[in-house]
Amino acid sequence: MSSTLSSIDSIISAFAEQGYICSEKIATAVFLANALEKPVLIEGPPGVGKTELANTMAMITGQELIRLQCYEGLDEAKALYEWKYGKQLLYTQILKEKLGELLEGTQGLDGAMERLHSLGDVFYSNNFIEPRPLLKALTAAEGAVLLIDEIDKADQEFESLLLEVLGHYQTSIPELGTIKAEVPPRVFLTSNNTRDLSDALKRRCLHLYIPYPDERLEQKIIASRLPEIDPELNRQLVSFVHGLRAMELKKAPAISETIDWARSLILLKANALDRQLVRDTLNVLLKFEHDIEAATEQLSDLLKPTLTSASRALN
Amino acid sequence: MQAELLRFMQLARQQGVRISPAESMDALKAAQIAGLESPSLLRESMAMTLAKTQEEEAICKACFDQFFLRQTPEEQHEDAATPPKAEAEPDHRQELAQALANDQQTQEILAQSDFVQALLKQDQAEIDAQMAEALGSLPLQQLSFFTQKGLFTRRLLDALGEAPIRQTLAAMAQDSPARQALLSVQETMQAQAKQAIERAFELNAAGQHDQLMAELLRKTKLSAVERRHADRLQGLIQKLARKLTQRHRKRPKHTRRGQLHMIKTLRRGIAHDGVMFDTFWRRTEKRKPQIMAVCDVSGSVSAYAKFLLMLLYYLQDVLPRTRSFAFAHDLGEITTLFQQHPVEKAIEIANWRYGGATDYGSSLDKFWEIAAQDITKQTTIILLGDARNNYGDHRFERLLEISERCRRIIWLNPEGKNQWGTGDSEMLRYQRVCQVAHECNTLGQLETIVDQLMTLTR
Repeated sequence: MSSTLSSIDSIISAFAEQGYICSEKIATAVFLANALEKPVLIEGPPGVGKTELANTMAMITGQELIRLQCYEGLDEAKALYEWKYGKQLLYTQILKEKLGELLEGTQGLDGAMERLHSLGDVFYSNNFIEPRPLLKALTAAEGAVLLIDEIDKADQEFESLLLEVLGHYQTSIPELGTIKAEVPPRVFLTSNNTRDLSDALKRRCLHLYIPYPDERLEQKIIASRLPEIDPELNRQLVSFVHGLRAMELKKAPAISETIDWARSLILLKANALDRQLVRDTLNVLLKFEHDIEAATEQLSDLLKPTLTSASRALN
Repeated sequence: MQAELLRFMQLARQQGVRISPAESMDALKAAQIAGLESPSLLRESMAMTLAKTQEEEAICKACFDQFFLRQTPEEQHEDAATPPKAEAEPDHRQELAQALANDQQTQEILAQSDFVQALLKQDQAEIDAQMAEALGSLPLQQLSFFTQKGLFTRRLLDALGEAPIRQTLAAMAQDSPARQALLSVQETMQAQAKQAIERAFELNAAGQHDQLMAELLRKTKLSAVERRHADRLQGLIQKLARKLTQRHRKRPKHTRRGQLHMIKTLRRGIAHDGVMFDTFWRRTEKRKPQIMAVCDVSGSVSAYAKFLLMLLYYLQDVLPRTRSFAFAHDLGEITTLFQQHPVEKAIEIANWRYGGATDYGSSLDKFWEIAAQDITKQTTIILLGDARNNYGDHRFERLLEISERCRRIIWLNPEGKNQWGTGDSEMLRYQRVCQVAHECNTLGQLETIVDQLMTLTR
């Protein structure tokens, strides 16, 4: 496993086997993250495969994927650990019943207290702790792939909580002490950049920006996801989508949308793009009425380069 | 190599990438792992460890190209075009070397300088190495103005060992063949040194220049900013809006009592045998401030309006509960306009739709009509305008009414305070109901005011 991650080429081929076509840049990030044992902060527009990268990583390394979805109001009880209150209550009940047995034969209050102290404090112990994603990732015996998704959605306070985990792969639980990971988890953070993250957090991570792929890469991605697609249709639809991205849209179509579109075109048994077909299926690509209108207006312009090159290819 | 990398980081720092010591250590470690065989791998590794945003990544990569590959994007094309010319040269060089070797005097001098030796041998690697060494001996950090170029070129030539050549040239007979050869060596040296200093200047000064520009723009009056700097200003405004919202994110306000916190109550109850004597209440409740911004887009303030609208645009992006209005002779809400269009277009449309001669009276009435039912004690109203009403009905009582219903009114006026109340300005009258009235015509002022404002609206 470690050998697959020790060179850029082997990383690219290992990812390709799992159906994730990654650029050299992404491979470099994975390579460095592995070598330096540092988390990777992935930024980029939605739908370019930020989350998928972590998924694929888990598949390649065979480690468990632990995902933490961030949202406003996320706190340590949901991210790090929580005590099992019900069980703790039961424990006190049982303790009360068994108290007589335990303290049998002791002399006076002092003796009873001494006996009690010698029993050890089970109340705050590992048995009663309910690990949440962060703690789970730290304590996983085989190591794990930890995906902290959309970190920009979480509050700023939460970022500070993460610092210890990301910097030293350890965390402190006041009642138990510091828990340090034996196998450092591979951490991926994703961000859509809705707000600036703190420098302290960024400093602890490798920074990876995944842009929209170029046409060739995107064609490869689609061909790997949908092997049955006609190469000419693939070329046409990718070039059309790139035309759309060049427009000023509220939400440009991402890779996942291109894949969805390609899938629906296959279902419709289309061999080539034409006006009517595009107009009918545009809603798969674009999610805002306003965008669809704008694109429909410029449909002939958008289709022209794809179609002329197609006819040239036929000639 | 380590020293080279550190100098590269120093350079990136100057161009605006924030690099802490911890990061440079990471970068050095990454360089060790990535190795030096593949420049592109090293380049990506540096960008990944040093940069924290997309812009910084671009800067890092550009710096890397400039520093290690010694080329800017334009130069790459030139380099591709030059090789044929270089091929023709060796014959000529050979002749030169021959002529120089014949003369005892010149040979001795030339032997003193390693650089000239390398130059004559056409050993590019050695030339580069000698040049780098000589450059290293100069205090290049101080090279920040183009007027210093001459001085630095001179110093570089001295470091390369040009001085004895110059002296010999002066002493030699006019028609000696060795003199011609020596002259051409000197010329080559001078050209090379000049080029090296040019490059060093670009590397060094570009970053400092950028910082200077940003600082200047912040202090310039918004109306006086030239068109070609507008892009830069747009970037600054965007940065400002982000910075402000980041500093003033929603903070929980402490109220006396909120929802029951079941988990904590249970936990406290454990001590009492599970009986929940001690209840715990969630105490935080988020206060949600709302901002309504009303912007004058009439001819008299058009130069400012563009920037104010720009700020509104970005603020609305980051503070979702902001509603924006524009007016001159008529008033209308532009919130959805801002949501649907990119900034340039939105501002253009707003200007076109509502621009004209100002009528504060009827605009206030219209504002009341549209927004009155939504104004609460949580609402802050920001008015952006010069309060020049063309001697029309000022409808002060309407503004009074608005001020009674909202939390506060803030007026930002692009005119200087001494001009308030002169001519057709109604500022002094309107000012009476404004909690804050400020003069605001540079980006620096705008920043301070918006900063205060966010503290107030919290």
